[in-house]
Amino acid sequence: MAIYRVHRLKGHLRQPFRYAAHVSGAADLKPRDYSPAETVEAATPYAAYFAMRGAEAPLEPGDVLELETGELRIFKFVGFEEARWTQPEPKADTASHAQPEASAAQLPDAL
Amino acid sequence: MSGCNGGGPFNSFAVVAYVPEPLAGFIDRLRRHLEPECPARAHVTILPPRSISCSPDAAWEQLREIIQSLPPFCVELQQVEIFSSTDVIYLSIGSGFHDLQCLHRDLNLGLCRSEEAWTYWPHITLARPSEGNGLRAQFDLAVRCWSEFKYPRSFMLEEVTFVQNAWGDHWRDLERYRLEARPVASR
Repeated sequence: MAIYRVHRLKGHLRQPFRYAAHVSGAADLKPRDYSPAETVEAATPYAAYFAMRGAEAPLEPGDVLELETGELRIFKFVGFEEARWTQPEPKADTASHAQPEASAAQLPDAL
Repeated sequence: MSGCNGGGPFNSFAVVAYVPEPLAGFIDRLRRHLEPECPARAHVTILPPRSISCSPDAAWEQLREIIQSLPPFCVELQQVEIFSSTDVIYLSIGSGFHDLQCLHRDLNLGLCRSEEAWTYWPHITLARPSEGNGLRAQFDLAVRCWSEFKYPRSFMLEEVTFVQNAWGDHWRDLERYRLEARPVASR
């Protein structure tokens, strides 16, 4: 059995998700679009889906299951598919003006 | 074959590719077990059921024009999934998925154009839900049977068939076209 953390798609994004074109392949997810919710113990993502099916808050399209290993499965209209969190890209102007900090490995021995 | 709409009126046509052996026998047996009354042959739907306002001959002529430029391609079956909006249990497609989507896009034009009830998502239907038929048990059985299937899970899609709904879930083949591998022109 595995323990899945449920990440709920935020309410205002459910309608756009419903009408978005289906695409195959791993989905890129923005962490800010999700709220961490309960955990569920199940053998597979579908076992989790069935376990939650009759519950107060069943799994809805757009919701995500996260394994303890960090693997993600997004629940879509076509079933479960792989997903991954996208990292926010650093802002270009911040990056160009930032002074790089010397790491311990870069400091001269004399210091 | 039977479509996602559970059949349709007499003026209902579709384009499918029947699955060859040994996959066909496995899928047909599993589907009969899950849906005893279902007469469908294992197939991938390329153009879902639709009514047409022209003769079947005219529709086929248009379809064949497009199909004849197509080489055979490999279709790989992956895993048992569920369409969450309809509870249909299906086998997902890996390799060949994009080819099927492109073919659907190319065929869904002109005389054969129709707004699809569902976004076209290539698959092989294993069971459609009916009242109290135990979706979870059916799904678990399909997963177990598929995991025990010991033959190749891919096939060459080499033939396309134009079908018409005859009655209920019964469909009859109208026309078929065998795809040909074409040599690449050399200089």
